[in-house]
Amino acid sequence: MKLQSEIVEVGGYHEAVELFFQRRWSDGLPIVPPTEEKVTEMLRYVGRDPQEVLGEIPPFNGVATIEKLAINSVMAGCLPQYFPVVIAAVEAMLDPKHNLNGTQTTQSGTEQLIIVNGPIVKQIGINYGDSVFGRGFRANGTIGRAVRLILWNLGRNFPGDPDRSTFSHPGSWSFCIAEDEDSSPWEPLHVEKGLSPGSSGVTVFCCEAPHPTLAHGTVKQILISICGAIAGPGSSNYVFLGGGTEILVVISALNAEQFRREGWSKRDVKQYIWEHSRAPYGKIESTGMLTPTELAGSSFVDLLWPKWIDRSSPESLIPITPSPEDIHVLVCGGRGSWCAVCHGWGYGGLAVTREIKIP
Amino acid sequence: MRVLSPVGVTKYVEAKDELAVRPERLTGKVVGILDDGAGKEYQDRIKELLMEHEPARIIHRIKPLLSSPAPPQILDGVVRECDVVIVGTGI
Repeated sequence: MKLQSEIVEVGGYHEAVELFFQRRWSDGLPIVPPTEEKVTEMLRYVGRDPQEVLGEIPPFNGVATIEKLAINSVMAGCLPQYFPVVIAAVEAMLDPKHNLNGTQTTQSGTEQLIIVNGPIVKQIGINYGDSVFGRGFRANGTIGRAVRLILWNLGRNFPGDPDRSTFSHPGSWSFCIAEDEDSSPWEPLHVEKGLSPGSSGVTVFCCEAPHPTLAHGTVKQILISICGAIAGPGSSNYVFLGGGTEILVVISALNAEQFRREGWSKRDVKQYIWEHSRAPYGKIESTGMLTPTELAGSSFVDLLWPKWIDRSSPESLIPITPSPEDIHVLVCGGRGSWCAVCHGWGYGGLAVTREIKIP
Repeated sequence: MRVLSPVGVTKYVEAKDELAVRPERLTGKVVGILDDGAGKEYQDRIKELLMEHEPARIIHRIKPLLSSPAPPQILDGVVRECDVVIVGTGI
């Protein structure tokens, strides 16, 4: 197999690790040196042309070939069996609907969350239970990191230059989970998004770090807690409403049982959240963020908000998204009295789902 | 040990890192504004200020997305039609 990337001769393993730090080919953590042997192994598993181009990763617009994806996946510590997930995630991010250029450079603190569904979850051991957003599982850690290294090395969105994220969040190291389809009373997320039952899929959604909220009891009690966690007037979703506004709600395996007992559909849940997570127009306006200095007198309300939004008084209640369908609902996590909310950027990074092509 | 570079190839490697020549004045020039959606009042004020310099005309093109570069057809258009283009609002 003929590879086309530049080859660098190094003295050994530790020298390779140091070289990648020096050349800024690392995200700040040590990497697994991508030898020709390891990269070829990754490529042979998927059986795709190494020079197949998926697209260009902004803002540097480095060309994303299967070979470059394989190199970065080896660096992250992926097994070859994880590589199809990485490829599908990059394909999803390159969908124009996702606005990768915006997410790579925005001031907001959102990062790409990779959500995996289908048989591949158990086949390769992606965690969907306790500590689902945390550490401890090779598949979660390395798939998430592979995607971040691809964005780093092909997109070159370095902090401040030109990535203007004010805070970012730890998901910029690795942010990969799976849905607990066994515990969910509903169809899996990827099937809801159009893939066939029995397939494996990945959904990429650019969002803030999870905001956990104590939640247990009846469905209404759980949803009251979730809606309270959503409705902060400083959420960029309210400001950029209509510009690309979505949100993810995560329900723990324990709480999912209550939704099953009371017979709530996913549509019921989305509708309730959409109606009850609204913030008063006056509070949003009082933050000053609808008319920031940079807009020089214009307002995001006039630029972006749907015309049907009622803002006739300070008490008018503004929804977190333009429609209930912009609220994504996922079941995962441990058997604890918690749910979580992951706000989107508000200006893009929309959820895109792609099938994982398993060789 | 031989290791492979993870960095992508980009067409921008050919881009020149130098500024284009600036005209001494805008009088008689075709001036373009590449609007990234920051709002009508802002753009109107820019046009007012530009008119004080008596350009031949002002061409106003709007990017479809504030948070992404203008698509090539818009960029090619302003390069073709204008002597000078104002880009960006500082957001």
